Amino acid sequence: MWKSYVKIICFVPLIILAFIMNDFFLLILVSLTSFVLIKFFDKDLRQVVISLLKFLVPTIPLLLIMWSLFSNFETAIIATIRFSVLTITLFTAFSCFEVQETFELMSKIFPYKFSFIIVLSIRYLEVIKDDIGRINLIRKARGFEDKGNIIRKIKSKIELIVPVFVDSLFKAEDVTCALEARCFGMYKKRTFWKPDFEVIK
Amino acid sequence: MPKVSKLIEIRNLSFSYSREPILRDINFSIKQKEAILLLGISGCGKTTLLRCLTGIIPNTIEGKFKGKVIVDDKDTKTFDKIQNEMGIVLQDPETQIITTKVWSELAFGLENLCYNQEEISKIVKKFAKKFGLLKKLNYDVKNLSYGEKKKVIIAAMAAMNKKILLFDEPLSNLDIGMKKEILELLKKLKEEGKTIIVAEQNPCILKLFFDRCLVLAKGRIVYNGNVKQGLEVLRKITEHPRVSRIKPNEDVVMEIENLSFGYGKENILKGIDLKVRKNEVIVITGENGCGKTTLALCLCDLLKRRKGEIRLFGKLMDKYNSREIAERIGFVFQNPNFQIFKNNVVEEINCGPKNFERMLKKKEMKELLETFDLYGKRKFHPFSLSLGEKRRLTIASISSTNPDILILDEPAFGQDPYHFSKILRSFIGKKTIIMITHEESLFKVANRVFRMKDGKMVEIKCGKAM
Repeated sequence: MWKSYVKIICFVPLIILAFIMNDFFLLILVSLTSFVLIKFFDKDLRQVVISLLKFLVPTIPLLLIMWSLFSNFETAIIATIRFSVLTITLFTAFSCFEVQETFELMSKIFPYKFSFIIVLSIRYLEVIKDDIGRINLIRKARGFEDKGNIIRKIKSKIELIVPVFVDSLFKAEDVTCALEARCFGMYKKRTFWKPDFEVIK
Repeated sequence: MPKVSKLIEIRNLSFSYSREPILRDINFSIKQKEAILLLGISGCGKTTLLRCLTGIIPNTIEGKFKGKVIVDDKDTKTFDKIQNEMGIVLQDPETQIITTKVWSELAFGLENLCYNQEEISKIVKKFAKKFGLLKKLNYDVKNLSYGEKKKVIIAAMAAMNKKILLFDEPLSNLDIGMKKEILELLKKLKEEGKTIIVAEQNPCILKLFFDRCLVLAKGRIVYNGNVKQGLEVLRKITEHPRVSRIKPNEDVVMEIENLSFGYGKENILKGIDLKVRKNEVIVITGENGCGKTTLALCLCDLLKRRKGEIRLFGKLMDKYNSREIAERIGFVFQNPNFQIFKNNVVEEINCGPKNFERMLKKKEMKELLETFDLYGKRKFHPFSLSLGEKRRLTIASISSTNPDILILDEPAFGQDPYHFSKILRSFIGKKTIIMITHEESLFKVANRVFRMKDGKMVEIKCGKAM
């Protein structure tokens, strides 16, 4: 438990600094320290950097252009730097917490049945993401085409939502069944197990 | 009153979700430490019966519930802590695994029961060792194979130390090696003194260690007795008119040369060669995750192959656009819920031809609906149909576009043999069929059977022609 508190104590000041600091070099320093912290908390630095770049590379030029349209170029540069530093610190902070850890931390404040939503949604977003890919393939195999004007495109996307929605309703029945079988919600309290990782590795 | 030997007792149980009753007037009892096999074709109410036993019906899922289910002297309708004694493993592991890591999945139930740290560590280690998951404890669930996911679920349920364990088709969609492994695990659980109920529809290697067998048909218990006779009763129910093989033409429809494909660095398919002749039936089988479905997706160009060439009717695949391929190759996927886009059965069947600017005539439509036994339900919403009917509808909506080649992914899953053989008979001799399946009963229909292994296909010889 103390480890997650350390994480919170490290990251909260960094995020606040990224919000209020006005000095350019200090902002860079903030983002660098957040990368160092990732390494410190044993997370895969490369993966975090790759997914950050995937998000930042297309958004930075867009932000620059949009902002310089509404005001001058100088403020645009400052705003984009602020934006990217903020995303870097927030992203690294969130990537340092495991799903289980967040669940436990949130259950300190809320009843565990509510904070459990986080675990469920993260797990089933993955499932739904796979499902959408599969449905797209199926539509292609049946000769549906997504060409045409915008209204037609939107219509075809709505047709895609229906099977996803219905299938997740069916899945919800299974999920409740599985949750009840695991005695979820039977008692008012619940323990949180931390594995001793030496044994696992 | 002395302690009764009956652990579970069911009296006059009937249940229905809507109008049509799913379970009708069921009576039986189960003793302690008994292993029971619940047989029946798909859609006969096995899953509903298991859900009634756990008390999830009528407490959580609503419907018309009559009769009594008594577990350990307690009525499930009023006693809500029945889950302490009863665990259920459902069919699809994907929806049952709740957390993201293997270790947290194993500990999840124990945490809910308020065990402390040391106890959980001890139990998790013990069960991980028993189920051969010790090295995989720190894995993400999404990186596990289908069979391993099933193992994780069974381990998690067994770790909770429940008296009664229910399994809903624990062996479906698994290859033979994995089936044997899971059977071994079930056997171990039985030897530990647990009461086990297993629902299955294909009891090929299951009969070994069960004490008793129940056969369900159309919501009624038809047979209650020893396993050997039960299997015979089931065989009588599932017996279907034979489908005969037909000699294919000599003209080649599709030619595959040195096909390779992979998602990551490593190739899953490594150089596959195949010549498909006209009106031939080909079965592709193999272990889970060996790339059968991937191969099928490559065949209709839904996944771009890395190497190799495919010729369709003597023309290179690259020269067709995606719509022309869809017109020539029909692909029926596994999950029917993903393949339904319209609001009623007739519209759904018609939407395929509409994509190719055609319409089905009324007579053709009626014929099609009758071969698939959907005529009575032609105005229903597709999602209100049963699983078997939905699967039939998906095949119907593909065949309505009249493709030359049909690719069927696990066509027998959730389908009763009578309807399925009727459908097969309407196709054989008119269409080229490529089937991906684990079912060995389908090998008899095929002209050639291939087994996928290490990214390659090997032709295997199987029984005489029927």
